[in-house]
Amino acid sequence: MIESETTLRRRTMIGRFVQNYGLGIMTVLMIAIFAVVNDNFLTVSNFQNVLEQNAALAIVAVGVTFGIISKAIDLSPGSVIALVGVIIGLIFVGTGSIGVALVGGVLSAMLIGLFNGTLIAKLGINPVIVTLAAYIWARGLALALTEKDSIVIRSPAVGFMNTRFFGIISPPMILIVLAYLLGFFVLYRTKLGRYTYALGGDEHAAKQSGVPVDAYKIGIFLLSGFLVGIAAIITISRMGAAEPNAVFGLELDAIAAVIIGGTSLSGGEGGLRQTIFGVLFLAILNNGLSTMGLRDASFYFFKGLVILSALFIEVTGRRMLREAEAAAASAPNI
Amino acid sequence: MAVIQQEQALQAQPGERIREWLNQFGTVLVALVLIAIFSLTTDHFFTLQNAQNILRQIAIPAIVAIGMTMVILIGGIDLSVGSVVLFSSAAMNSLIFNGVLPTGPAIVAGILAAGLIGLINGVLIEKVKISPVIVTLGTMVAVRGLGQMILWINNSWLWVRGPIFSAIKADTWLSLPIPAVIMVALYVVAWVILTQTPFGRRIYAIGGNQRAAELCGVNTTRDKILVYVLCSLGAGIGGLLMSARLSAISPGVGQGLEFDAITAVILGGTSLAGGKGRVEKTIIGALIVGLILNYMTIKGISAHYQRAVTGFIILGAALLDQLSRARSES
Amino acid sequence: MADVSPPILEMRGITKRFPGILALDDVAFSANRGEIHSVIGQNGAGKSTLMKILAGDYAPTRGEILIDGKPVIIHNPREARQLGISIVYQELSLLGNLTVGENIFLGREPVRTLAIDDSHIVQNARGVLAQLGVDYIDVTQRLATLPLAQKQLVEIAKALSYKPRILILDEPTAALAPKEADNLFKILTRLKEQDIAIIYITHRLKEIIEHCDRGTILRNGRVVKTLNIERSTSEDTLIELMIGQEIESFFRHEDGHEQVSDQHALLRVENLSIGQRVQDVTFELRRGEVLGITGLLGAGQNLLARALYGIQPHVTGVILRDGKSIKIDSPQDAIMQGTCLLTENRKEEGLFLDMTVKENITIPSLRRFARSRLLPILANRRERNAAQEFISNVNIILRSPDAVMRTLSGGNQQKAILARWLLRNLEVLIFIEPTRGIDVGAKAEIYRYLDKLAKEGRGIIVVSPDLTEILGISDRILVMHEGRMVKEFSRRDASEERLLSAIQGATNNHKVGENIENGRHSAGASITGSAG
Repeated sequence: MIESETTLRRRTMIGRFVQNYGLGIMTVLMIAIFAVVNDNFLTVSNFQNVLEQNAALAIVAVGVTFGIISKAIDLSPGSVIALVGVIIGLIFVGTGSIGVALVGGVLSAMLIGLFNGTLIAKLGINPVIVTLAAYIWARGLALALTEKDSIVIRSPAVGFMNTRFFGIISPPMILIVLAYLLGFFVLYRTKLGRYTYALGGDEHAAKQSGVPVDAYKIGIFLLSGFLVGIAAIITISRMGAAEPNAVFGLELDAIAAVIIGGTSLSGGEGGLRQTIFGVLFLAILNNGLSTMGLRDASFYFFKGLVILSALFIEVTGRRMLREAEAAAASAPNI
Repeated sequence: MAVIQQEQALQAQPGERIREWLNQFGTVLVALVLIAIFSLTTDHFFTLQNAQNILRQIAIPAIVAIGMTMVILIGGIDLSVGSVVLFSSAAMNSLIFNGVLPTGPAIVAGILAAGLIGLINGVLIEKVKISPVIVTLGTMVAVRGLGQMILWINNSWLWVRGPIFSAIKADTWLSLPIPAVIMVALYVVAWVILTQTPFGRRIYAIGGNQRAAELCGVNTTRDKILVYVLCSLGAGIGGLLMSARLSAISPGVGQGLEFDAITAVILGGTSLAGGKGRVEKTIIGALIVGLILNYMTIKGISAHYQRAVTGFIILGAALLDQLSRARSES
Repeated sequence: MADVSPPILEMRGITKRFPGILALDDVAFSANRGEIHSVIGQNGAGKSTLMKILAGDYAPTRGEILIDGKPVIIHNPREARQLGISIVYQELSLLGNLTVGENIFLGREPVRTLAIDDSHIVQNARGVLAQLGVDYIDVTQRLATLPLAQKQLVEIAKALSYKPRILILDEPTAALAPKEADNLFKILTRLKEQDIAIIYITHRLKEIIEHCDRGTILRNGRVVKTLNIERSTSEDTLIELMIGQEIESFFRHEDGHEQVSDQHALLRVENLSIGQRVQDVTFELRRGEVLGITGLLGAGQNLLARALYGIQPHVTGVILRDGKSIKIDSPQDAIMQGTCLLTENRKEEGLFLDMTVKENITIPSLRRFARSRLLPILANRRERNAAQEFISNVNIILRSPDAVMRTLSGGNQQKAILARWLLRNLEVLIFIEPTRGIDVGAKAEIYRYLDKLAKEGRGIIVVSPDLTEILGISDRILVMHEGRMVKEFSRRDASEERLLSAIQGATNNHKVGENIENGRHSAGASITGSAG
């Protein structure tokens, strides 16, 4: 396979351009289109909407980032949020204490994470199967426990979550910031974060260097579970009730956000900086399409289309760059 | 290197023979045991009527599971089949309803449209090289939207009309409901393709060791794309049966079907890693799920708990698969 | 000069047995503080096995190990490290996506109030690199961006950071340029002064003579001799010890094959280059001959073979089949042109472990077994018979062709892959390390078969680092060194000593190609005109 130098150089340039600016350009384009179609799009209140409607997505995406970097994909967040919401609702109805309910919710989310993580790490079952199963059974349990009805939560805590301090900031936004601060700290400054990258880079080499691989795999799921618990709290407070059908398909959004943002499915690279942009992209997409009046059918269709295109551009750009760099490493003069 | 002894071919020990037999017939054994237990603990289970019910229930997931088996055999996955079922049933019924095509050709068109989705999946996965999970998650969302758009054009619901559909729904052949007959026929065809044709042999090779297959001159790209097309075509046929079963197509049709299919495949012993598995065991896997769900229905357990149980069944199957693999490799 | 105090390492009576193979037989080995001790021997002599035992990857079947006079049992690599043994393998065990510093301290990160103390890591990593004398490497740089030579240095730094008393290096210079190798030895000398015992495995005899204090030669799993190495020690001495007087005589007995004298060579390669790894290679393969291509690891012969099968990117040059220029961009192209390749990685690239032997053999030939052109159904009996025929031809002893490939021995697996391509019936067969990891019995059979194939008029290329093997079966031998084809031998001129010298790069100003260009002319093509 004979390749010329100019082709290689061109591919490197295209690849690098797409990697750095692709997402930015797409986002700007998207904002432009939405702004043109809808007058209310570029307003402060809509921007607040964007953040609040997608708070759960943003927080879940932190955990998903860890998972994808460490090569353990998680398909369960949406269903687990629904289930945890239901658990919070049931505990609240049963005990009357919102505090106990919330703590119980977060703990159950972490417990589910522990369960999944152990099956994956200690029993070696494929993460896709384990989290797929959780996707099914968690949703099923949520529906079964409530017989499809929602559990209304009458508590001042709900009102608290929905207030806007100084007209701008609401607790969910603060939680998003806190979640990302936590995520950044863990990913870039602690062993859990370092080993997340190690697991994704070369699990075998990591094991050889003495990294306790199993323990950290489970640790990642525990962290994820914690974040899912927080996301569940935000979700039920937005609706004022525990909805068993809530956030259907959230995990797809989260995974898409992380990958479009620039973290590769092949693991070992990427990070939260990238995820922030991916989440923004998806949040704006969600918001833009719904303020355009699209619902159900067309909403999903166009959303799916845009996501696929964004994925295509991102993945191709990365591939071009990688191939061009590999070629440069073994080519004669470059 | 010096050699002290010539290697012996591995002898089969009695323990190994039993394990071999269990591997082959284990699933059938489980199914038989379940039938025995269920029949003994409940009155309405072991009747012709109930058997026909079970067969009607499992027909669609079982058929979709055929294509899923092939996709998993080559090491991929297709999460879009449920949406494709919606899309193809919406398409064919829309064509009929609006008088664009008579029933027969409309059905064919719907199935072919399904195949087109498979082609898109295959090309994105093999040529553009995006992971199957991502691609089929994306098409799952987009195609469901597409199907729902077709329904929306037709005022949100599509009534299913046509003698073909009613015939499939009501008729039986030798006491077997027609959907079940179609299911068995398709399984036979699938078995022939996978075990008696070069293409089938290549599927196992690609799943077993794609690199080695490439080095043997196999055009892995083309074959893998074809597998994704076949899988979606199967979902298209599922759309036909779905139309026959329901009196109207609504936006939620087919939701969750991909997981039923995957469960059947995993229960049937096919490995998610690819290269290992038999399509004839998938139908037993579908049957086992059908038996368990049917039993729970008879016992009055809510449909949602049934769904949750399905999730745990997947885990159980994966666990067993993992344990048996660990033992055989030691 | 080595320390006169007692050896820090002693291995006594080490024996290691694998199923069907005796890898080490009663080996005695010792290492002193502050010396560089080389373990020398041909491929398969047992060097790596011995080191793996020391590093805790294998347990010896028999024998004992003493560190500092005290007997120890090493169960795993971690215990080896705790005992002060650090090994640097040929295959890097570093993570490309982490930085140099992070790699060095992977698994041992210092922690301060929940967070990793990165400044501590950076400081210590710099210290270790300084100890090595390579402080030009930036510890905050991502490992993947470093050139291979520097990656190896980081690997060594990592091994050093465990503060070992014994450092084992397995072929560290295999992929290094001469200047980088010199640099490495400066570093090793510095380590000697710190009283570390260095055990060094390499094929490069010049390096051994120039830098090592002692050498232990292994042959067929046994120790031949342990000797002091001076500047005056000659390569020939080492070579003689490596070879011994025995040359396995189960190769061919005749003088070679009669080459069918053709207008065109079966295969001709002109000016083939592969990136920077292979430069400007020109050679021919004739009908009825076995052409051996050999060289040190990384000299480019494996890449060359892969290029001929279309699985190597960045190839430039001309390939001619029977005089006609062809393009080989994929295995399908190659097969269509009548060429097949058996690689050295049968597990990753050749075997379908969960399919039956019959199925493994018939994969490339399935089209032949369709019942009719219209009906793509396999004719089972015809397929089975064909597979069975070739199973017998290559002498695989099986109860039935339906046995699962996983259950076969290494030798039988290799023979099955051979059967696969024989069934396909192609003219050019390229083998990379055809007898790797196979017992002697199966080896002999494969050689006999290669002989038979040559007699049938096919062209066979064997790429192998095993000089005895190359010598035994080839009609002509091409030697590669650092990406170029540097020497050609005919069966008559070749000898193990000459080959050993040639692969080390000994030049005689006698370039390959002259033999070809002097003797033969392809009709129409002007060789001298088109040569790069």
